[in-house]
Amino acid sequence: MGSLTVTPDPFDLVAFDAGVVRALLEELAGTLGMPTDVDIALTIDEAVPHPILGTMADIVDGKIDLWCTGGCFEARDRTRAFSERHARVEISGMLLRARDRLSGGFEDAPSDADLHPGERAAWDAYTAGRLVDLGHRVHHQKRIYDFRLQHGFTDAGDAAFERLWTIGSTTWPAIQEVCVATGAAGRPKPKLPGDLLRRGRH
Amino acid sequence: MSTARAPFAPWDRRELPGVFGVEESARRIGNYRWTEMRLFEALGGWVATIPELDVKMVLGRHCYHHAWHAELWTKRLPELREMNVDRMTVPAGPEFEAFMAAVTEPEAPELTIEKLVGVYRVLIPRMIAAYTFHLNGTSTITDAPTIRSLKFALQDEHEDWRDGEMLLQSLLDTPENVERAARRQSDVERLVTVAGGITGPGSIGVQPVPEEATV
Amino acid sequence: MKRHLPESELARDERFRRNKIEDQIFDPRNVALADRDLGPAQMSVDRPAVAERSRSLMHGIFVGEIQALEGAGRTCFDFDETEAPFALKLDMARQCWDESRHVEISCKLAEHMGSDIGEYGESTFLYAAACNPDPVMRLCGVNRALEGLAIDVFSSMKAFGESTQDPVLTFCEDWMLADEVTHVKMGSDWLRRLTEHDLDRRERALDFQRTVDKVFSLGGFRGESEENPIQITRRFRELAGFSNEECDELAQIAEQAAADARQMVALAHASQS
Repeated sequence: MGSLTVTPDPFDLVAFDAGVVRALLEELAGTLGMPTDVDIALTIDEAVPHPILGTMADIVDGKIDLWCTGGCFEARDRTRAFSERHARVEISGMLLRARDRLSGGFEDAPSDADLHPGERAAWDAYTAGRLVDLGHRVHHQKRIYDFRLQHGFTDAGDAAFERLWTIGSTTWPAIQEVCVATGAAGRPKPKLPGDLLRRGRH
Repeated sequence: MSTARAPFAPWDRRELPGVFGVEESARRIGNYRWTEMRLFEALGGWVATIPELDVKMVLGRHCYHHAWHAELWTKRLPELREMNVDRMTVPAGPEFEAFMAAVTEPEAPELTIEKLVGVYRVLIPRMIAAYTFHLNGTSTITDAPTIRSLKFALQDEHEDWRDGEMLLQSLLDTPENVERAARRQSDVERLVTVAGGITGPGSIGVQPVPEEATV
Repeated sequence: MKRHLPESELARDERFRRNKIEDQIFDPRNVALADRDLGPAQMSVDRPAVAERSRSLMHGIFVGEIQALEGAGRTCFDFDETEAPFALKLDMARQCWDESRHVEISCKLAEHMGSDIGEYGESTFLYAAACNPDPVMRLCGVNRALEGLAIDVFSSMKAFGESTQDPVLTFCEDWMLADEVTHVKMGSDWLRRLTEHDLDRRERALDFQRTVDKVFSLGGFRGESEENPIQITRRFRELAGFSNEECDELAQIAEQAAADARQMVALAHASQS
């Protein structure tokens, strides 16, 4: 049986309980049919508050490596408080993308740090649609706005989003095609690294 | 035969006489100004005390309408030989002042119904009535500037009345709330009846009948 | 109805939650974040978490507009004609209408960006800091400081809309920006008129404005460097009646606010080690 670890334990700067987070991780890993022989490590950067949301899901040395900012689990209306609803959505989203990398058609996708913002936005749109199918409350307008920022405020971009939202199953090459079609692939390479938040210090 | 045109086109049926002379028009306008000022101040002050977001925004808009009406009357009074605008800006009487105090008295956040009923089911209908009486009664030739301002004001008053009434209908969602509204309307209507209306007795041309007339 | 409604009595429906400003200032994460690179402070599509940060800012603008509407409305009511002439109150009533429209626009923008009313907490320090029982101070606090901040914020958001080619955001922010320039100009004009024969009162009012400006620049939120999320917009401030010297002074106030914040963090670091 693969191990499930949550870091930090205990939390120091926010009112999160590592045990609660670990239980959620275990429950959701089971629901999503994650391979039971693969270790899952979830690191929450508790210093980074809402609204600075960021998640990463990679496979490192055969292990599922998940990372997110504390803001992802933070209640929107109470500073430093834990929101189980948001935690469920974010953990599920990270696990889905990790599963994509393992055996979901995204085996050749670059690490999250090397993804172009348009690619990440498209993959997130695909993930969000699947979260809805799993019964999570996901805000459609929020997600389409996130997508539009990277793919443009155009009818073609919106149509691409709706396809990703409803497609149910897709692959990394298909994501890349979407980015070409919307023009996101043609945007300048970002000056900042994709894992800037995770890197931490200046 | 002269080909000069008559001063009034055939379709211009305006007549000279009007019910109000200069002084009476000015008196009424002074009352209007006073009322519009108290109303816009109250609507502005209420915005922060009302929790319902849509009502907040509507009152913010209506606040300006009534302030602008007060400004129309501010400009009209000197044209009616009233250079001291403040002297004419008075309530129609102490009873009307008491009525306005009652209309603007509710403050607590749970009294939105009371606030709206006083304004939209009692005060504004009375303003529409007084403005309409003035519009229909004053000389269409000599008092044309007042008529123009009355028409502008009446357009706002009708739309604001409709806005307020629709808000109220949406808030009166239980028998208890209906009862509250009816009670409030009754309390406030009694006061304005005693006052006689926006410009006192004769606001809309209906004068109380003196006792000796029945002999 | 009483005059001078305190901030604690601002009426809200059940969706709204009040943040305490102390929770933000004394958040233990501030010390940990001082050394962190969270990306550029200014709104740009490259910024980490750009979508959620812009939603959060937009909601902050939305509740700020509600408080501006309430502030203008209270000014119509709180002062009689001996304290504030009718013409001033007429301008405030007009501002009520404008702010009411801004609340409407902000609601539509929130829908566009995917956030819900009350999704984020509300800080009422805008209303609290700006409203003052003296009408001249109130004008400076609301029309010059608070509305001046609005000019800076809307200009920054408009620039963000342009950079992301978001036609809705750009359009809305530009319309609101036009109104705010009018409001600040009203404040500048009335300040001059009401204190024409009392320069001491004018200076006290401007002092109050500087204090409020410093509150609104808290933690380096506003300034002229890349480190500031909101940029001081000199061009529109000048249209609204701010002099170049006043803009320079505001930039200094903002720098001082940022320096104070850095010092607080350094002190907190030192006390931890």
